[in-house]
Amino acid sequence: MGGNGGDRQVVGPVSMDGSHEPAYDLSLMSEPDDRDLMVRAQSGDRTAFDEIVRRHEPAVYAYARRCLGDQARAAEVCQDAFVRAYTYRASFKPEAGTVKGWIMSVAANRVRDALRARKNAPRPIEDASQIAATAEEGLAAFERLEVRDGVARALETLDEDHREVLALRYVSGLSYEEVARILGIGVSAAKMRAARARDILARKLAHFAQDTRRPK
Amino acid sequence: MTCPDTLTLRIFAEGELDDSRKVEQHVARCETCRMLVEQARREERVLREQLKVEMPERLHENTIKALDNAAKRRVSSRRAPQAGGSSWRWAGLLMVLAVGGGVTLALCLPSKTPAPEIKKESAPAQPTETTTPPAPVESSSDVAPPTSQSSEPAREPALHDNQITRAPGGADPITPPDQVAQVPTPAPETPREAPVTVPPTEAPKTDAKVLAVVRSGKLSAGGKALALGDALPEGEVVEAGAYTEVESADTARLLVAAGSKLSVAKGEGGRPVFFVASGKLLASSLGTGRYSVASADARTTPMGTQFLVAVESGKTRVSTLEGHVRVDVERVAAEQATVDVRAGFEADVAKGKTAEAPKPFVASRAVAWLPEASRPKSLPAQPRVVATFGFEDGQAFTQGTIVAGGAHGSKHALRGVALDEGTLVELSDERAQAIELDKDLWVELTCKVNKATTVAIEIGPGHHRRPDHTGGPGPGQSWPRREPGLEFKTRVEAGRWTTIAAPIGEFFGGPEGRHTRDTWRRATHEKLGDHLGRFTVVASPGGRGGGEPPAQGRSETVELLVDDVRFYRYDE
Repeated sequence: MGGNGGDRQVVGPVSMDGSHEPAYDLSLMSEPDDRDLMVRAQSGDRTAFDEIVRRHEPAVYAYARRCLGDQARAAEVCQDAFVRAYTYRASFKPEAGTVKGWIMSVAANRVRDALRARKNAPRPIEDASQIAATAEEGLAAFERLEVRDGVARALETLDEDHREVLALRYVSGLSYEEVARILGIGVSAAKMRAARARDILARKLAHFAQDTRRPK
Repeated sequence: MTCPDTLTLRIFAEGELDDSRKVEQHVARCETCRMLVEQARREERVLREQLKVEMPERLHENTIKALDNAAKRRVSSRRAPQAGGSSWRWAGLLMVLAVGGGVTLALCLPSKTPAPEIKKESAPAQPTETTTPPAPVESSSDVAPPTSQSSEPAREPALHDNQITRAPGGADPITPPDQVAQVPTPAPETPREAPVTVPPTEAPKTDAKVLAVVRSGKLSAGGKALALGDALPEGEVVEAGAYTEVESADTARLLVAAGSKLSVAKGEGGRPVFFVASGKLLASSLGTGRYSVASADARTTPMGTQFLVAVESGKTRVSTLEGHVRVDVERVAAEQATVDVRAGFEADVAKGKTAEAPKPFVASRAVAWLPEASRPKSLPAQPRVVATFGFEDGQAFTQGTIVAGGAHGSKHALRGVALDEGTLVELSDERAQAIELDKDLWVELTCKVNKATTVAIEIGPGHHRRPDHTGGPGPGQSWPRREPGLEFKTRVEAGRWTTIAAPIGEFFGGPEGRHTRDTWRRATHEKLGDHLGRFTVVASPGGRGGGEPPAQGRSETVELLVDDVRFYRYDE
């Protein structure tokens, strides 16, 4: 990376003395990484930020969609998150985490606001013990075809914390370190919360499966 | 080793278990656990697969548009606020409040431009207010398209070390102000006529408890003059002996007219609350902090960065220059208590009286009291109302029924009919069909639903239904499919009249790219024609709307009332 000669297209923030620094040789770099793009975005390169949007919008939208259960609202939150991320892009610190994690944290705030604003949030089921299914039955529940389609619907009935952690981990594909940062908890706690959420979800699905097998 | 619990096995199956050696050895020996681990791995695959979400087709395009708008806003906010047009929500907001006999006004601002000075500790960050502002305003912001960042209780993204922190007990994440302060923004302008001003870069006489300081002019508390840089004493009424500038760290700058009386107190989360007893002030938000202005008749939640408050006798007048303002009138039934006042409009409100629909006003008059140098650089053009439909005469619709009790204290409203895709009203008559379509035509309506729902405004060619009120097709028949048009969707909270407004240029389904009014017309001519054809408002539960069929198992209907539909332009 770098290089400033020949006919190559060189882009990069202009330093105080007018030189490009750091410079990115697009002919050598087919796919700049997120941090490079963010550095460019921070120096005013909108196309770089647009590329960040292109890369992470599906994850942000999917996360919002699964947390909010509402397509229109998720789209709003997704757009709003990127507008805010762009507005406050100068606040991103490369040493403190990934671009995706940072953007997801912005999105997570917007999602929480949206959930707070929504009065008719799905009623949470407080405890897996309310559901008459064992942990083993829960684990097996995902195997059954009749309940697989119910996963998304079952997710909507989880409480916000559990929905959030599952969406961050399994919908947006974040690492547990990133999930933990966004949730403001430790990595181990994030893992446990996700496992607990899966457990509750699985038991609900098992319960659902029992219901569907019950003679009408 | 005894068998680990299923939670541990799930984490192990993901390869995320710390110190997994013992579990690994156990699983190698224990067939039951091995089976459970395999199941957990399958479970994870199913989970990822089943929770996949396809992005809506135009989402990316709309996000880019939203970013364009945001970039434009930032540019314009550094130069001068733009008047009218679709950029209104991004720039300043100016509001005039005339108060008599005690009016309560609360302004909770989502700030846009971080202040470069004053201690950050006083920057509040909690989203709620002791002066009980309206519920978080999904719908209010939703007046603007989904791109609006003013749509929710303003809290900037928590960016400290790129992470969000949560207050104990699951409270809101709080933005470390120093993070946001990194955003390059221009320093607030200093009015030319301001006699003496504490330079913005000068360290203020302030500590964590200071809510606001005097920047210029004359301010006295209990007959004792405050010096420049002094903090306003909390809870004490101060009086401006001259045109005075007050600043709240990272939050707001207030330009106070001579003779005005106000006080400041600490609201929830340390947020400053300014109580206006009399006089006028222009407030500009500076940073990430939020604040409010309160008195006794009405409370106001502006969505913008700048507003003007004037206190006179007999009533409260709210005049908005940019953005929109939500006014909650005191002692009025909850469903009628809220009035949204948009750029170029003003509303007179008084305690205990339902406010009428906002009317256009001349912005230049509202700011005439300010020193010239302190006036907003650009004022909105007076909106020209093209057509208004209040349904008081029982006319102008082809779907819906007239019911008693409308918005803004009117006698009637239009109630939607329940159809397969939701509850719908359709507007149509000669006046509606005479409205010329273009991207700068604003559509505004006030609606009420009985449960939180998505409301979609749709425009398109022709009629949605036969122009009768028979209520639906016969047995075995189905409604003809509507031709596609443009639509604008927003969430509306239940139980109170809510105003929705947007320029047609920001409706979904419009032409791609940037357009002038003429090119937009040409691009949509084939699809929409030149004049308003179908105009429908659809409410459907479960986040639907806009003609999507209801999801299986969600056949619930929602009651929709629509009133005060109007079309206007910000033509110069």
